[in-house]
Parts: sequence; C-alpha cells; structure tokens
Amino acid sequence: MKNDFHNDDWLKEQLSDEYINDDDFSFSVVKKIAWHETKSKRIFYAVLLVMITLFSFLFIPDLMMIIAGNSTSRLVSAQQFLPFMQMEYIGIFVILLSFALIWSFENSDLI
Amino acid sequence: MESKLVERVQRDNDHHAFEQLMRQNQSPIRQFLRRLTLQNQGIADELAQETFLKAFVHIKTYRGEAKFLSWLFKIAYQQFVSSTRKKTEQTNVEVEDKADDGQFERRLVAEKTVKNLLKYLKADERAIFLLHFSHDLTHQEIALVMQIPLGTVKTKIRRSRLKLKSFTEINNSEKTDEK
Repeated sequence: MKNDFHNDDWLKEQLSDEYINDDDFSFSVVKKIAWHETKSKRIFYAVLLVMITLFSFLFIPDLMMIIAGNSTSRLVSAQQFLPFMQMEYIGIFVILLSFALIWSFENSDLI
Repeated sequence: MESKLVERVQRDNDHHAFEQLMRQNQSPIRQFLRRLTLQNQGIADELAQETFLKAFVHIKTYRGEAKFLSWLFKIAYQQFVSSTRKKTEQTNVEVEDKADDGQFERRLVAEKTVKNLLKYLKADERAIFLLHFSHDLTHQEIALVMQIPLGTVKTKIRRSRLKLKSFTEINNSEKTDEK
C-alpha cells in the first residue's frame, strides 16, 4: 500500500465513507421515541394512582368525620353515623373519579 | 436552519423537527459507530438509535456551545463505551488480544486499507482518529466530545499515525520476504 500517514489530505481521502440516508432508520427512532414517551407517562400515572389511593384511604374518612363533626347540616351530620367501610367506598369513588379526570386530560393531550 | 430545528424540539417537543435533524446527522453518526464497532452494522445501528433517543430525551441540556453534530458524537461515543463495558466481547480486549498474538504480523499481510488497519488501534485512539480525519472535527472539538485534555488528543493522533505507519511497514516487509 502506497501511503503517506503524515499527509492529512491523504488520510481524509482514505477514511471517506459513502453517505448513508435511510428513512427506515429515522422511522424506527421516532417509534422508539413515541414508545419512550408513553412509558414515561405510564410511570407518571402509576405514581399518581398510588398517591391518590394513599391520600384517599388515609385522609378522606378523617376529613369527612371532621366536616361532619363541625357541620350543622343534617346531610353532613348524617355521615357521622356512616360506618367506616362506607367511607372507604367513597374513597374508592374519589380514586375512580380522579382517574377519569386524568384520562380525559391525557386524551386532550394536556399532560 | 439546524438551530431553528433544535429550538423547535426544545420548545415544543416537535417530533417532525427531530426527524429532520436525524436525517441531516444520521450518516456521520452511523458511519462513526460502524467504524468504532469494526463494521458490526447491527450493533452500530442499534447504538445509533440509542444515541438519537438519548439526544431527544436530553435535548434541553444542549446549549448550543458546540456544533449539534459534535454533541451527537459525544453521546454516540458514550453509548459505545457503555455498551463495550457491558459486553464481554469488548473491542479493546479484541485489539489487545491481537497485539499479544504471535501471529499478529502475519495477519497484517491481509490488510490493504487504512480503514482495515483501524482495528489495530485502541477504541479511544480509533474514535479520535475517525473524528479528526473522517469527520473533520478540530482537536478542540474532539477534546470536548471525548472529555479529555487537548494535549491528549494531539498525542493520540500522533501516536495513531505512527502505529498505522509501522503496521504498514511490517506489512510491506512481509510481502518483500515472501518474494
């Protein structure tokens, strides 16, 4: 091989490559990006669900008891007599409602 | 033009703009990775995809201090290094094995081009050599991409030149002996 390793132009010529342009490549990267974004959102939803669940089960029954205790309204005072389990059902209802809200945000691309 | 596309991706998470950036820059990144992985196209293209995915995820950290392509080279090289660390059949190990092998000189007879001889350089030397001679990056830009001192870049280029030159000299003397 006739060579001149001290000549930059010769080396550049030796190391030149053909131009690669491949739409399939860009397409698969875009697909990967979309998948990555969905995955990130799923993690976000899972964290949100755990937080709402914890909040609901820990605080909603207490909150309702406090409200019922201070209220003079017949409707709210009646909740004072609700058994604990029924309050848990209300908690589950709040979770589902929050999830429906998050879902609608997602569909409107708000998150 | 390129900076406008980058801005669009940073501001609006614009996939279309990123796709254009990818079309503009995929060739040098894929060529660089192919040469680094010693023409293993499957691994190289997988690394290139990971490079662009990482670039998209972290594009807000790109401040425009260096060329966008240099920033991509930096990610590509980091991807290559972490993938070789993970895999047992590391390129560097292969190269060192070749260097320790007694048959090393004999195998050189088969080498005909500078591109083929690159495999006898260590991975970091090969990366520096390619960035400089194949992708026209300055010494300063290479130092930023590889995150090494400027002096090291210059030394490694000089050393690689001499290494390749000595390999071809061995090659030529083998041919003369055979005649």
